[in-house]
Amino acid sequence: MINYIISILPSLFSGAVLTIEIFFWTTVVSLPLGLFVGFGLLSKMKILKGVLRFYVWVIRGTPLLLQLIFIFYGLPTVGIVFPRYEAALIAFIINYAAYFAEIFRGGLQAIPTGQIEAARVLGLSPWQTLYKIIRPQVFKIVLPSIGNELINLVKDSSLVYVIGLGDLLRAGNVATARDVSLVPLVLVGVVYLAMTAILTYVLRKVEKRSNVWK
Amino acid sequence: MSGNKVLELKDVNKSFGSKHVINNLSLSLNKGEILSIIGPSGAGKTTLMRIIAGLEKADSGHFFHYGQEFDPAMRENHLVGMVFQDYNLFPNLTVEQNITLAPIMVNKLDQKKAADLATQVMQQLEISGLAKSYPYQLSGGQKQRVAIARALLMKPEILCYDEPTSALDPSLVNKVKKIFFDLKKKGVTQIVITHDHDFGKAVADKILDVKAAGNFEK
Repeated sequence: MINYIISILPSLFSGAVLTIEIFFWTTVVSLPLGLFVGFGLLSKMKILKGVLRFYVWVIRGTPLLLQLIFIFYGLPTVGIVFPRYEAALIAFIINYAAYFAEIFRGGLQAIPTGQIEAARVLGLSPWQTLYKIIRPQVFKIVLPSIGNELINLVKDSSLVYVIGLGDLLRAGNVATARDVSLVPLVLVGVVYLAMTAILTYVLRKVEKRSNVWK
Repeated sequence: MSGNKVLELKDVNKSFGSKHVINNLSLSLNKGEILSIIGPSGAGKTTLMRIIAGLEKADSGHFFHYGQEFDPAMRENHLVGMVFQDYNLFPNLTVEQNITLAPIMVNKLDQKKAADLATQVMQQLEISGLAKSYPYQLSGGQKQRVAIARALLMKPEILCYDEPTSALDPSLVNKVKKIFFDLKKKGVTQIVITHDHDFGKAVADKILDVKAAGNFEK
């Protein structure tokens, strides 16, 4: 048993590396992108606002799985071809940025206008106000929701198996089919749990730090 | 044009939609004077103060500072400080950071100098012990004094207060009076909106009585 587990671990770990890569790049790109879109959703420019609202509506209203299939299998029919890995990243970034945008929009709207007016009477520039007053307050407001989405992302990354990428779930699935054993799938579950446990721990630490003020 | 007035308003008008809130208002203030604006709510008191503080734009009218016309909405003027009714302290900053933020970021004072100034003002206002506290840890009266300290550190020539006594118990009201008179001695011109006629009359050199919307009487 132990020997069997040890024999399949390398393939599971290499799958886990892909999962982590997708998690990392999606987070790093879609968070700032979501912030910009969030600002755009509050913009006074009607066209910009309309376009961004449409984007959020489409992306949140359709399954991520469909978006993945659309980008990897669908777009080539009109001549737009992405390699598997890039297709996966594009789908995840576009998808998560939409969710993050809505979270940031809510966070920005939750800042009382009195905060901005107080900063203005004190002579702070809009950028100074954004950086010193709005950013820390929005960060604190959105942190729990962002954390939720990030934990979802770890698990959602398993959807890439549908476009043939060798992530953690696929590695376990292959081993289960080959060896007719439940063990690989249980191990896959354990690895996901370990990843989300670490993430939860980090998020809790960050939240705790922002809790010195209310 | 009188060049010795720290603030002079001429024919100021403001309406929201069809509602005239301020109708051809003119007034003037000498350095160190205290103006009380009294009257029922909805009569435009806060709007007038927000116009003077540059948070709202008048539809028409002229503003003078020692005879020089100026635009209150220009951020660079630094003429007016404001103590908001609900104080609007920055919850993410400590009391000291609240007070020193603008001097450091806007006036480019170094941290040490700003902190020294803050210490002085906090001593005057009897909030020295609160430097490291966050706003949520303060009582209403303490928050107000922090808000006053924050405004004072920018050395405004005119300091506006929106309902400074509404959230305070009577013993604190006397402390606020004392702050008013101390600042007056230092030459700070002050404008105060209040429901509390006794308080308004006790501190004021001039009283602006707002009877109903758009109808200002001196």
